[in-house]
Amino acid sequence: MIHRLLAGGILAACALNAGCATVAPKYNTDFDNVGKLRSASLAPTRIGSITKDPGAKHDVDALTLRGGTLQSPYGSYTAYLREALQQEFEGARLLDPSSQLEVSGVLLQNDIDPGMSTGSATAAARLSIRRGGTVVYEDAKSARIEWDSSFVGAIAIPKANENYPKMLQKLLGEFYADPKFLAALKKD
Amino acid sequence: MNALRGCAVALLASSLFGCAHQIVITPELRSIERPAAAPTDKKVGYYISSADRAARVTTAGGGGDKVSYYPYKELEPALQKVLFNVFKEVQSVDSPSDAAYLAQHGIAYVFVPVIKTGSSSSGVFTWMPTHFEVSLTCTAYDSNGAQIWKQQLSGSGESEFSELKGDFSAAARKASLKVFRDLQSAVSAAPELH
Repeated sequence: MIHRLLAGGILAACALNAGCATVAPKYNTDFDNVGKLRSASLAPTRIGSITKDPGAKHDVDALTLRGGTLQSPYGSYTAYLREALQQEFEGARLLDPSSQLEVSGVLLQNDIDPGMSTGSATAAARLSIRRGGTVVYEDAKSARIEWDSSFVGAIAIPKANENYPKMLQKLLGEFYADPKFLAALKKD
Repeated sequence: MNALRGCAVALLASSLFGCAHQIVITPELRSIERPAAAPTDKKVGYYISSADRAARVTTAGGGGDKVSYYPYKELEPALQKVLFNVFKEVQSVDSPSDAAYLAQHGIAYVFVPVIKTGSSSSGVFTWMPTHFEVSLTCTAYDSNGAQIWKQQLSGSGESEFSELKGDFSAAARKASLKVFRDLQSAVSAAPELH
């Protein structure tokens, strides 16, 4: 019983003072997104660089959860977004590193809040499509998701962690639902 | 002061007693790599009932606690990944035996998974499972509803605290990754499916 109380005390302390660094889950392909790409008869493309907006209100690479840092498993969140694009274009068999078509972008916003009763994550990005160096598409989109959270850090932090990739899936889905985005990637 | 005491009691209660902690058992899909062979030029379907997708399962964690997760919903992306890796087209279907629908959409086979899971922990002070098991029976039916292929697979994953503190679901993800990698090998090697 003493051991259980000790464990509970440690967890309680963590719940209140969750200042640890955690690593976000790696991105997993959203096959609804892949289906949108596959059904649109697109040309193979390559994924260019994803950069961050130096003028952003908050550094997109600095996510915190209750005082602890949420680190990207890919080194940065711009790399995370690039990995997400890579995975989904690869899943749709539309990835070709030698293509004249290139998708690149800027991560404009990247926020996560485990909240007390409701958690939320928000991101915004501007994606550009270049065909042989000429910009044929450029637009910014954003996505936000919410989930039931808790004041207990041991519950709220893992939930926030698991929801981060889902928010990026939603963000990419916003682009894939844009007819202009798909039109710019059509075969010649 | 009473409010603070109430919070502390609730906090300790939630830490100490029988709550089911949520984990996510989806493996890292990147690790289910596409085989060297070109995908088979067939469109296939898979069927997961809405009841299965919504099914939440609770199994044992450590220190008397439990963990909960959604086996079908969380492993559906792994099934999709395997089928996308092996076949040219993949789609979810609402019925595994609607011959008219399957014919209309050119779906050659429908894969139907049955998933069972179990977990345990050697940890006394932590709730995360250190051992996780996934058992998958996958059956393929042709467009007339006849069974043409069936495979039973199982996998287990083990994780130490040092890994679990960064990923509460690490043992589960290892087990599910093994099962779906094995499924891909089995589907790829089945001549009746190609």
